[in-house]
Amino acid sequence: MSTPTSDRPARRSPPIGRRSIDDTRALLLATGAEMVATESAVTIGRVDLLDVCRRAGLSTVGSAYKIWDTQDDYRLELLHHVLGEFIPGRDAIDLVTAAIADDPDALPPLPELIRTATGTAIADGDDGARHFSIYVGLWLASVDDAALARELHDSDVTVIDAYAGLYDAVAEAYGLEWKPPFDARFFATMVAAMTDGLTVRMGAHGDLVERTLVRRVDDGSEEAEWSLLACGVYALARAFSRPRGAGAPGERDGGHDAGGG
Amino acid sequence: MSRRRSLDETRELLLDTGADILIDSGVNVTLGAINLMDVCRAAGLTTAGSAYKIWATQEDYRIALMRHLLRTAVPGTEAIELLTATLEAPDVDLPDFTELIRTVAAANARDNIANKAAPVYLALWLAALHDPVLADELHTADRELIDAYGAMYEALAVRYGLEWVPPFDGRHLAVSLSALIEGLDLRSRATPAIVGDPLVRATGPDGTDQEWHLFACGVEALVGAFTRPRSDDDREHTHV
Repeated sequence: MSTPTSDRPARRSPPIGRRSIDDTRALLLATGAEMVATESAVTIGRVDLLDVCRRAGLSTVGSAYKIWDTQDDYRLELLHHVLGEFIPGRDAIDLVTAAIADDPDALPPLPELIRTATGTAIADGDDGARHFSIYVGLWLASVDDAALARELHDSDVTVIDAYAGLYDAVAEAYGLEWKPPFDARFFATMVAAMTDGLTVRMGAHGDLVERTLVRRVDDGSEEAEWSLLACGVYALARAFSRPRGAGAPGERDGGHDAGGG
Repeated sequence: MSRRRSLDETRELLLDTGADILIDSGVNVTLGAINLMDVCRAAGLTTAGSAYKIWATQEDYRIALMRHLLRTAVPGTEAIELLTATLEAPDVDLPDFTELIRTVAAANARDNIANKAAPVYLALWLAALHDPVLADELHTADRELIDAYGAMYEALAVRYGLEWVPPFDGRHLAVSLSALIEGLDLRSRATPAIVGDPLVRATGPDGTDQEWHLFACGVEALVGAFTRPRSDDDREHTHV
């Protein structure tokens, strides 16, 4: 993934009331992100730098073109900005990684870890609508835009790899291994797809089903509030992993332990 | 002299043409921007006169077009047919449950990716954020879809001697599976390499290898978590 073209500081302090290049950059990225998030007709592939400047209250695009050579350069940086800011769940990686590193013995039971770590991945209300807008807008725009698709792909690979690393660490910490042919990247892809899908659905209309379900995951556990995403992630984790060394020779491959017929 | 179209025929023609314009243009033309005069021209009509005999305003046309898209853009036709056939099959022909999941989920995923209207469906949802009329229509259509799938899953559970693990029911499974397939579809449409090839699993007779679509693996996992064998094992072979 390419990096922003410039983080260079302004060479001298700007006169009072004038923005530094960094301030202008931040302003135009924030304004572009807001437009992408709130206007259905504006996607990253089509956002117009002149419109962004106008919306941001700049009278000309001159200062914008001091930062970005072309509109495409702006769109590319906006994409990275949006992906960095809005992809939900990044906090969860940091949170869980820190918990594992701190004291593996103090980790909560796995269901509790999944319940709490996924609890905030689907945003509610306005935030949900923003995530929804940005996500769907990005993916849809990339269907028609090869350059955007490549960026999105690279970004997605980075995200999936980061999560796969986390899930391997979690499996290790909890004495689990992946059931062949599944692995951490597969699990990460499934969880990401489910998160995206629920973001879309819940962002569009959140009252299709209850936002949280009160359940206990096994007879010995306490009742707790579970999001539908958390229920799904736990189901996937159960199906795709097993206690380390539990695979028996000649076992029949199968993900689930219920389902007669 | 060629036969004149009836109003119903003109209606169908203009709805199909509008849908084609939206689908062919990807997401570059939104429903709100579609112009009835353009649609008439694309349909080969010289004036918009007959269109305005059907719809009083352009807005009325857009709402009709949206409903038309919702009817035609909803994926999963082949999967629904397979599941309905299973529900109606005699006991001796009831497929193995795992095999049912594997084949129906693969059909569903294929249907989805082949459905050129699917991005338009998503674009409609995006537009609905800023359009209360569209939002209401979509909401109703989606609720009907989830209700239909939920009821089908509940009927299948009965057929296969399963019960729901509280607090889940068929609708929770329907929402979860819709989310999963849409998430996978979004990814595979934009960047096919991310989703990758089907997995090979030794699930066949005598442990032979079979191909599993990612979605099918997810369905198996979620069904396994949301249902369990009925405790009394008193299976009802209800035909729905």
